[in-house]
Amino acid sequence: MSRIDSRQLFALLFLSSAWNVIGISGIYGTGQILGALLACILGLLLSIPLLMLPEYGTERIYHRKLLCLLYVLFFVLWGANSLRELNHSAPIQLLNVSGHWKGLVLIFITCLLTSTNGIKATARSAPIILTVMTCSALILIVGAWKRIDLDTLLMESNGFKEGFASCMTGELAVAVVLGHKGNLKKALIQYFTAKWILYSVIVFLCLTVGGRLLQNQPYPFFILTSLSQPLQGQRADAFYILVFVMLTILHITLQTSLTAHLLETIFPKLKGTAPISLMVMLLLAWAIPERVLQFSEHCMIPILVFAVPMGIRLFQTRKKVVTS
Amino acid sequence: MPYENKPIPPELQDQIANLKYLAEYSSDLLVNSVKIGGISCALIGCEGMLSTTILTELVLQPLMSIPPQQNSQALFTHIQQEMLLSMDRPTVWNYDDLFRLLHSGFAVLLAEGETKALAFGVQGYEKRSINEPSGEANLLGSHEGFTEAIRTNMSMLRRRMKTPLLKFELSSMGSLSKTDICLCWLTDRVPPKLLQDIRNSLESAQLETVLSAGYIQPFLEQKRNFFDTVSTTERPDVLAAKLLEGRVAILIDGNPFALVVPKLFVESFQTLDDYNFKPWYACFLRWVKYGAFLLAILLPALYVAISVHHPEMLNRTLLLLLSHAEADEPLSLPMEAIEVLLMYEVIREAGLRLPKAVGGAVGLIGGLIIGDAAVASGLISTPMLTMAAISVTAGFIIPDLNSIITVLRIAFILAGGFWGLFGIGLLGMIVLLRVCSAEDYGFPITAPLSPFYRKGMRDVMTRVNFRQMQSGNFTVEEYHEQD
Repeated sequence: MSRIDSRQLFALLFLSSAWNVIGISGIYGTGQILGALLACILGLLLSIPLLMLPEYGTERIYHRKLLCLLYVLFFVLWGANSLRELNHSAPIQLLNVSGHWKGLVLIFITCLLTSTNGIKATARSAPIILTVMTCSALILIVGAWKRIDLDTLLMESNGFKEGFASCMTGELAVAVVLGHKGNLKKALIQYFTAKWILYSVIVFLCLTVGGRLLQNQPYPFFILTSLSQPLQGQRADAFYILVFVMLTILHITLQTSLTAHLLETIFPKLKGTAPISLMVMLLLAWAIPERVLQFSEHCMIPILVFAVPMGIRLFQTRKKVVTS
Repeated sequence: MPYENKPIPPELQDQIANLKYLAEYSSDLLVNSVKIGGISCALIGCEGMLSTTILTELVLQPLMSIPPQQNSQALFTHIQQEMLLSMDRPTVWNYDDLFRLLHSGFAVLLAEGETKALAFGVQGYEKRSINEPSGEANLLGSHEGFTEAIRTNMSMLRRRMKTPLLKFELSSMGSLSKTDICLCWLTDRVPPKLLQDIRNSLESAQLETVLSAGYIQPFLEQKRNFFDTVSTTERPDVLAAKLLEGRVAILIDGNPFALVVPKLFVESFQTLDDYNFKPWYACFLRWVKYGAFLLAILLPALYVAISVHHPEMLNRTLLLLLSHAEADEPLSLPMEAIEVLLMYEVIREAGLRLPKAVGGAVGLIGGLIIGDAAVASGLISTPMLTMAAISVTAGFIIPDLNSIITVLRIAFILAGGFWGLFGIGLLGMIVLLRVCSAEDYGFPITAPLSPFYRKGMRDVMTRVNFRQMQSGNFTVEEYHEQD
C-alpha cells in the first residue's frame, strides 16, 4: 500500500472524529471543553511510543498476524458501535426524508459500495470532504453569530466527564495502522488541535445560541443548525443532512476499508473482504449490547495505541542490544 | 495467418506465385515483371497506396539505368550501397513483413535467386488535409488538428518539438488490420517503468483490428472505472504540452486523436486558450468551469430535491413562483426533469448523426418548437425547462466530461427525487470515492488536489504567468504513488 500523506491522514482522523463530535448526545456546560482538552492531551501522550517508532515502524504490525487480528477485532467492534450510534441518530436526521430503516439500509448499501474502493480512495476523498465541511462550519458560524448570547455561557460549568468521553475515540488506532514517520507527527498534532477546536466551537455555539433550550436535548448539534440560519426567510437545516451523510459514509467506510485491508494482509487469498467486514460489523451491532461494545472499544484503545507500539519499540531496542 | 513468417523462396516464379496465392488474387495487387541490370525482377505495389509520380521518378527511372550485374546478389548490393531511391527502404525477409509494407504504400522489389526483397517508401494514398479540430476549438492558438495519417501527425508534433529528446516508436497492432501505432515521449521526462508498463499494456491487446482510439483505450486503463484514466486530444500543440509534462502519447494510424497517459481529472478543465489569455482572466475562466461542472451535474437534482423534500430552503417568492408553475403539471418533478433531459439527449443525438445542414435544423426544431410546444401544452413547466437548459449549457463548457455528466445528471435527479439531499449526499459519496479510486500506472487522477501538491495548484486553482511557470521543471512523475 502506498503511503498516505500527512494531509490525508489528518483529514481522515479529523473527519472520522467529527462524526462523533457532531453526534454528541448532550450539552452540559463549559466543563465539556476542558474535558475534551484533557482527552486530547492524553491522546497525544498515548501516541508518544507510536511517534518514537523508527522509520515506517507500523509496518511491524503487518508482519505479525496476531497483531493484525487484534486491530481487526478493534475496527470491527468500533464499526459495530458506529452502526449502533447511527441507528440512534438516524431517526432524528433521516425520518423526515425517507424513514428510519430505509435510511439505514441506504447508508449500509452506500458503505458497501464505497468500501470496495479501498483505503487509498477513502484517504484521497478525505481532504475534499474536509473542504465541504469547512464551508458548512463557516455557514453555521455566520448563521449563529447574531444569536450568540455570552451570558448563557457562564450559567453552567459541568460536563467535564462527558467532554472527556466524547473525545476519546478510536481514531488513534487508525493512526497506528496508517501512520509512518513521514506523516504521523504533523497529522497527529493537527488532528488533536482541530478536533478540540471543533468540539469547543460546537459546545460554545450550543451554549451561547441555544442556552437552556439545548440542555437535556438529544443531538443538540442538529437543533443548533435549526437555530442558526444564515439567511432570512430561507432555512438551511437540510444542508447539514448532506454534511452528516458525507461524514457518516466516510466514518463507516474508513472502518470497513481498514478492516478489509488488514484482513487481506492476514489472508491474502480471501476475496470480498470489505463486504465481509461490513456484514460482521452489522452482525455485532445487532448481537452485542451497546454498553459492552462501548466498553470493549474504550478498553482496547490504550492497548492498541500505547501498549502495542511500546512493545514493538522495546522489542526493537532489545534486539539491537543483543545484536551489538 | 497463412503467411506468418513464411520465408521468401529463391525462384522468382515461386515468389510471385506465393504472393498471388497468399493475397488470394486480390485486384489491388500490382505485379510488374521486368529485367533490371540483366536480372529477372518483379516490382510489386498495392493500387491506390503509392504515388505513381514518385515511383516513376525516384525508383523506376534509376532502376532501369542500372548497368548489367553478375547476379541478383550483386544487383541488390548495388541498389542498397550505391543508390538512394527512397528515404525509407527496409529489407524484407518474409511474406508477413512484405504484405505489411505493401499495404502501407511501399513498392517491393523481388529478384530471381534472392530470398529477400527490397522495399521503397513511395506512399501516395489520398488523405484528409489538416483542418481545425472540431472538438477542441480555441481563439488564440494554432488552428491545426491531427489528421488520419499517422506520419502527418508525427510531423506535426515534430514541428513543435525540434529536439532529439522527442522519441517516436512505431509498431503495429491488430492481427488483421496491422494498424500502425506510434508511442511518443520525451526521453528525459518519462520514467522507463511507465514506458515499459504502457508497452506491456499494448502488447496484452490481442485485437484483430484497431479502427479507432476506443479499441486501445481499455487496454491502457488498468482498473475498470467510471472515469477515464486516459485522455485524448486532437491538437498537436496540446499534445506537445502534455509530453513536456512527462506524459506518453499513442498515435494511431487512421485516427485523428492521440491517447495520452496518465490523465488527471483537472486536465478536463484546462484548454490551450487558458495559456494565451492573461492569467487573471484564465483563472476566472477556470473557476467558471469548475462551477459549470457542478451546475451541469447537480442543478436539476438540487431543484428537484429542494422542491420536493426541502421547500423550506426556498424563500417565499421563489416558493410561490415554483408552486404556481408546477401546480398544473401532469408529471412528478423527478419524472418531468428526466423527461426534459432525455428529450434533449434524443435531439442532440439526432443532430449529431444527421448531415450537418439537417442536424442544425433538427436542433432548431427540437430546441425551439418542441420546447415551446411542451411548455404551452403543460407537459413541462418553464422553471424546469430553465434548469435543464442551464445545466445542459453548463455541461458544454467541459466537453471532455460530457458522457459522465449526462449519466450522473440523471442519476442525481433520481437520488434527489426519491430521497432529497440525503440521496444526493449518498450518491455524491459513491461518485467521489469512485473518482478517488481511479488511477493508472500509479498516477491518481485526483492529483494534485488529493494527494495535495502545492506546486500543482499553480495551474489548477489559479493559472500563474509563464515567468513563474518556467521555473520548476514540472513533470507528472511528481504525482506518482509508489506501491
